[in-house]
Amino acid sequence: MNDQAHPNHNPLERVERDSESDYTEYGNYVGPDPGIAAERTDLAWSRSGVSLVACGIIVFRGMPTITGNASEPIAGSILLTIGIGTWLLGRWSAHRRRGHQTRQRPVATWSDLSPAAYGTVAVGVAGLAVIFLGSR
Amino acid sequence: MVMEPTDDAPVVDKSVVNGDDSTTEHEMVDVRFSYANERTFLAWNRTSLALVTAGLAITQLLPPFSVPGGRRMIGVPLIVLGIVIALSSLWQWRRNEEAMEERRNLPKSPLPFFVAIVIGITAIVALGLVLFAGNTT
Repeated sequence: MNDQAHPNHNPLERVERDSESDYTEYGNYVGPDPGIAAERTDLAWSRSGVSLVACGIIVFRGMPTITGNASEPIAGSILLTIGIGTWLLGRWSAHRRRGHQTRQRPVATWSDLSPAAYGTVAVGVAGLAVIFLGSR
Repeated sequence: MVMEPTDDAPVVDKSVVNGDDSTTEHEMVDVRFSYANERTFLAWNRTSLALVTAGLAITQLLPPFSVPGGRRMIGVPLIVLGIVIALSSLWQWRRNEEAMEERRNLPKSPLPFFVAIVIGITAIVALGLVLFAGNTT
């Protein structure tokens, strides 16, 4: 291994690498463990999706108290669809970035993350609507 | 563009090319740090969703207290806090990203302190309601 190896490299790494080759010309790390951070990020998106859907189901259950009709799940269904769509969009975006290590800066942008935040805000506002407009 | 690794560099590329091929004074951040920043944002987002879910469960599933609006006194602050966190975490993510690009220290996040204060006050209110307001069932 090169004496000037990057300090973050594991000195016990079995595969010898030239430190200069661990980065693309755009500065993206493609050396040892190039995908673990990206994989953790993918998993974080999965957990966020599950949380969003679980919260959506709670709101879904509360929506009939607004409409007064227990068999009227349209509003809840729309919210759930938005939640699931937001999650799929974010996860697809994360997966796409993960698969293109050689592109310029394959990291999240504002447009990648903002739908998740806005989706969460929408669920929260819907929750407040259930509380203040609902019959319970 | 050839890179020159240094001993102290999470930031690895000394001159950055933007999407439009223009060079800026900003430097490229190691993608792993950006991923970590993204995961932090997602963790805050899940915290936000948990608060919203907890607030809804309290107001919809708990039996009412003898104090009018008792359940809302607990649940609504949690939901509002969840909404604030969802927006603030996005803002915090961008601040961190910009700081890393400009090789500044990461800005201190006010979110943990804010969350602790709101949840602490809500917990005290909940304790008071449980001890002194009971419930109607």
